[in-house]
Amino acid sequence: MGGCGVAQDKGACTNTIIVIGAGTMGAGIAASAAAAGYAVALVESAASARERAAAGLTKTLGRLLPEGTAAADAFARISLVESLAQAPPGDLYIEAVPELLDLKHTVFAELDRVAPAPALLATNTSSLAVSEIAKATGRPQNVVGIHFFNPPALMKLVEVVRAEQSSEESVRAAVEFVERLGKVPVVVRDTPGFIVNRVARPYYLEALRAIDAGTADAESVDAILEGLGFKMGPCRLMDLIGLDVNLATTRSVYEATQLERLRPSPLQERMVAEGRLGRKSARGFYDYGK
Amino acid sequence: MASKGYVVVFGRGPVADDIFKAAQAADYRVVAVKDLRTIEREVAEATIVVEACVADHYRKYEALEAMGRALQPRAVLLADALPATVAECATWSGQPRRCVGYGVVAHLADQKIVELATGAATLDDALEQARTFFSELGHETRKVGDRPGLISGRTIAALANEAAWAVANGVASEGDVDRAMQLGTNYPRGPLAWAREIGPKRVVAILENMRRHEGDAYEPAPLLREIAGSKEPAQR
Repeated sequence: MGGCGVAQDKGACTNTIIVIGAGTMGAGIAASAAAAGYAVALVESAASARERAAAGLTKTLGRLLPEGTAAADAFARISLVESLAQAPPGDLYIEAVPELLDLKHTVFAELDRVAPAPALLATNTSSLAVSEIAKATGRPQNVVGIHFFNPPALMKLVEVVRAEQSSEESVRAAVEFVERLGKVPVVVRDTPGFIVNRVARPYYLEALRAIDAGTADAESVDAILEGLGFKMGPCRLMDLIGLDVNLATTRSVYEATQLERLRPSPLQERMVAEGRLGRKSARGFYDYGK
Repeated sequence: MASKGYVVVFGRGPVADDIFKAAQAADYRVVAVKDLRTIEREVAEATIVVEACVADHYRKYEALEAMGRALQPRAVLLADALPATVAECATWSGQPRRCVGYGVVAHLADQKIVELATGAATLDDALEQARTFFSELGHETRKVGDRPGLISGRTIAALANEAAWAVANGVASEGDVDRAMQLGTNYPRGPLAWAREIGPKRVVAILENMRRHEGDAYEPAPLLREIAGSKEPAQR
């Protein structure tokens, strides 16, 4: 495949994607890009994470490209490297490191040094302001958000975040990249939680408040909402996501907006404090006996 | 064939229409009343009286008061408990012992489970009658606490409201918000398309119920009012 997908300037193409961070999100993004024909460098400083990512990539690509040698070809397009210095010059850099502003700033300051001038610099952040992250570079107009959902190789939706300082060309290039992955880009302004993580808050919060108020128990809340067509009731879903992860998202949206209706639930705070995190701790709203 | 009972359904809109049709299909003798002037005559004969005014508060108050006046001592009064609490409906009807709240958001068929809620004075046999009625209509019931919007109404209304505020805040367009929510969360419908389908007036009425009891945090977004055609004069 290969070919010219994302035109940054007239004549230039995005062919090489550099993904920084090989956690669940970074590895999934790398797999999606390789499956779409891009050359990918996946940058990860921890050797253990690189090993885990290599195993995960094989599995994910096998699922995305089940026929013939396509998965093996895509895998061959990915190089797993230890540092940005070992990566080839990229057309698009996607940062997918943990959600700590200092860490993101370190990454973007380094990108500023190593990335070719026209490269598009993207962050996969879900909870930080893209404009804040962009401050670490001398070319904030090239910075956008490209927010994938978990699992990134399978979820069709990608939020393309247009921050204050993002240029039109950068947004357009990000949209074209996402389309070339076969996914659906939705352009969103740089606001807390973007669309999905913000608009979904009441689904969890109203359930938590109802249980806390004694209106109904978790099982009834789930049954009532599943009976209305929701695939998974909010309590079962929080147990799956992890109550701590879900609470962290609510907190970050609440702290950035200060909207009373989005205030975190004391019930969820208590459950997290007690270690009732959901499936991963074998106990959340439901028991998952080990 | 002996009918199971005499049902009077008062109101306009999908909730009233669907309960009417489902009751008919379940072999109840059922009459739909749309005019408040004839309600007392019909209620005087009925064993099950369904109030489904859906949105308009004043009309709901008037209807419940009239229904309560004519209600038979052993009949049950089923009040739409999404735009007002059961406590309020029970008081307005003057029949707190016979009043049971139910939660049907819009179309009965879209809902496997119908929530029921009671007031402080509701008698057990009235609740039992309510359970039996919805079970004959093919729906499971769950008793929940008397909280504004119950579970179903407040969840959908709060989601639609957050989506509408996001549009108002310029996060994305209405279509993009709905598209993102459907693709990103597996919700059965986009929250704003859902609100349009339910009727934005009803969604606003549910939010107003939450707001009256729980404070301005639940203020309906202007976009919802706009599509409901009930924009507050102060905002014009």
